[in-house]
Formats: sequence, structure tokens, C-alpha cells
Amino acid sequence: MTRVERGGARPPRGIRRAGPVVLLGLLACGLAACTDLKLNPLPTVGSSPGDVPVAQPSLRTDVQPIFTSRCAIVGCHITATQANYGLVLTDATTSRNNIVNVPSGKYPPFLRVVPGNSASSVLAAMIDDQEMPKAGPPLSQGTIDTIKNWIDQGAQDN
Amino acid sequence: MIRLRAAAAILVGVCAVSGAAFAAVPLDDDSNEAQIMGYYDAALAFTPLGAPPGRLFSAGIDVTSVPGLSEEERQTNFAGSKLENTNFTSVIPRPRLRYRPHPDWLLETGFFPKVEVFGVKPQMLALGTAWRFAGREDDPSWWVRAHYFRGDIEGPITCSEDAVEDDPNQVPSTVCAGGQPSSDRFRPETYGVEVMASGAHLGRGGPAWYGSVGYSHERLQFDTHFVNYAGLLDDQVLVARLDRGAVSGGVSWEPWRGLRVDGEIYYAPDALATVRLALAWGWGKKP
Repeated sequence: MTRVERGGARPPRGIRRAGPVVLLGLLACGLAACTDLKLNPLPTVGSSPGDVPVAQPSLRTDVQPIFTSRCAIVGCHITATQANYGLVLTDATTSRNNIVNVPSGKYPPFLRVVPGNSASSVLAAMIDDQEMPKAGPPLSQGTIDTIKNWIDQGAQDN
Repeated sequence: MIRLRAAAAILVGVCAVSGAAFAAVPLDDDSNEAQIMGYYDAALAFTPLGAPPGRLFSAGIDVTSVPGLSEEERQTNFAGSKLENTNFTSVIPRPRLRYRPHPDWLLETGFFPKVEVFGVKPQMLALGTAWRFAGREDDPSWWVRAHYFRGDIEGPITCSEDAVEDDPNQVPSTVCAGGQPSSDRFRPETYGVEVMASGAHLGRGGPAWYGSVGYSHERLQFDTHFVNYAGLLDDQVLVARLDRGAVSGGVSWEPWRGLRVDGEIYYAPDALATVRLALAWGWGKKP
């Protein structure tokens, strides 16, 4: 005598087992879930030991590119906040307006940049002491000297 | 006159909102910050996670596996000099309700209240609706599905409790050293549409399969709120807009009357590949 299931024939045993097998397979895949992120490396401009200082640097050609790649980045000097003392370094004009003869927010009353005198400029001291930049490796001596040369030659808008 | 004042008030309000929007920093699509936010938004996507149910109502919980980010991945973002605190959990749970008022329609919602779990306070709402445009029940059928997701996740992402305990006088110090744990907010918003194929049950009582291909537009916002060692606030707001395709597929199985188990594999290019599992209880015959 054949046993008849109510509501229709039962599927083959293999199919009945397929549900839990597939779910267990998915669970196993879950353990191997992985990222597919494609991230860019941190900027390292101005950190190569082989960097040679520019003797007569220009703000736009030599100094601002350093600010742009190492300072004007997300979380740092891209917009004004209390934490960065309102210092924005996104372009040459903005940078110069924010640093030349402007008192330091962190070390008042000293000036961020004293034209013609890098030894009295807070900016030069902070990069010399590796207090800045906070993101990425410290600046190379050649890059630091380029910025100092620009300050010592009057921190001109050139 | 009253109408004029009302119009002026609305105009002022609109300008204020516009002004606030301009204060945000727009991120490039391929920036690390945008990609990281997109990664978590993809993990939170409100995917079908199951073939359309054969019950009028169902209530259950979804769980998504979220691979943790490596130190290298977390260090190449948001100023880079420190580790972003993103690995709060390896699974994301979300309650989900389904309602099938008509054989060709399915309505879904997911919600997570603002309670602290895994060190963050997430608040999430998801909505979805699917319409069958071809095929019949128990035969392969085709659906188009639209979904919306909005989240507001608050936590110490920029600077964790560990990070602020670093010595601020150490050279070079991190931006977190000596400050207070941050209270940042990640606010993703996603609009998506997908085409889904749903297969018949493999015999009575066997699993049903489904697969989908979709597109979504993501608006991602990160509100930084970090008070540093000097008591000064970093409140930068970052905004990114990403467009993304994704594929998913899986099975639904009802091992016992009303009880349903779903499993899904999901892949979002440039974000992650992961698995979602769901356990739900259904009741009522669908119309």
C-alpha cells in the first residue's frame, strides 16, 4: 500500500535537503565575506630624503603644492574649524592671507609667518619639530628648507 | 501681508538650509573618505533578502556580515595620521516586516531604533516595494523593486577612547591625543531600483531561489564632532554622492509552517562581497 501525502507528492530527498545545504553554504561564504575597497595611498609629497631645496621658491609653484597635497586635505586645513584655528590652505591666495603676519592660534602672540625671518615664524618651527603635518610622513629637510627659503625671501605673493 | 511674511520666512529658511549645505566639503567619488562611507552604506543596503513570501505578513530579523577593515584601510582615510575607528561590529542586525496585499505586490520595511549597540547609536529606516510584471506564482517570475534607506549612526569614529589617550606631547602626536572621544554622525541615504527574478520552489517544501541586479544612488554625509586637547571643536562636514551597481541572489526556505529562513550573497563592486541571513515568522494566506 502506497502512503499518500496530503497536499501533493513530497519532493525527492535530495531537493528536500537542498535548503539547509544551500543555507549552510551561504553561511560558510559569510565567514569569507571580504572587502572590495580600492583606496588611494596617503600622499607623501615632500617627504622623500632626496628632495632638494629650491633656492628661490615661488609661492604658487613650489610652496603651495606642498600645502595642497600635505595640509589642505580632508580633516585638516580644508575648511576653517576651531580645531585648526581657522587656518585654511587650499590655494595660494588663501594660504598667504592666512599665514603671513597672522598671529598663530596655537602659539599667540607669535606670527605664523614673519616675512624675511623663518627663525621667528611658527610655521617653520612646527614643521621643523614635526608637529606638522599630522597626516603622513614628516616633511623632508629639503622641503622644509624650501618653505623656509620662501619665508626668508619675504614670503612674497609670487 | 501675512502671506508675504510667510513667503519671506520660507525664503530665509531655504537660504539658511542652502548656506548650511555650502559649508559641507564635497568629496570626490574616488576619495578614500567617500569610498569608506560607500562601503558601509553598501553593507547596510536594503536588498530583497529572500524570494517574495507566500504569506500575507511576515516579521523577522536580518543579519549582514560586515568584514572588518584592515589597519591599512583605516589609516588611509580622514587625515591619515591615525586609525579611524570603524570596526564596531562584524554583523549588522535589522528587523524587517513584509506585507503582501496582492499576489503581484510586496511591501517591506526595516527599522532600527536609536539605542546603543556595539558602541554606536544607529537609527535606521528602510522601505521597499516590489511589483511582479511577468510570470506567475510557483513559476519563474520577474519583479521590479524600489528601495530607500536612511541611517543616522552616531559614534566615536574620528577619535576613539583609545586614540585620545595618546600623549599629546609625543612627537609626532595624532590629532586625537589629549582630546575627548569624538561624537561623529554618519548619515547615509540611498535610493535604489532593481530587477529581480524569482524562481519556483524546488518541489513542495523545497527552497525557492531568487536573483537581482540593481542600481543605487547614495548620498553620504559625515558630520565630524571632535573636541581636541585644547578644547577646540573640529566640526567639518563631508558629503559624497556615489552611484553603484550591485548583484544579489539567494534562497528562501520554509522548514516549518510559518518559519522561514533566507540566505543571500551580495556583491557591490568597489565595496564588499558579503552574506545576509534572515529568520522570519509568517502568517496569513496571501490574497
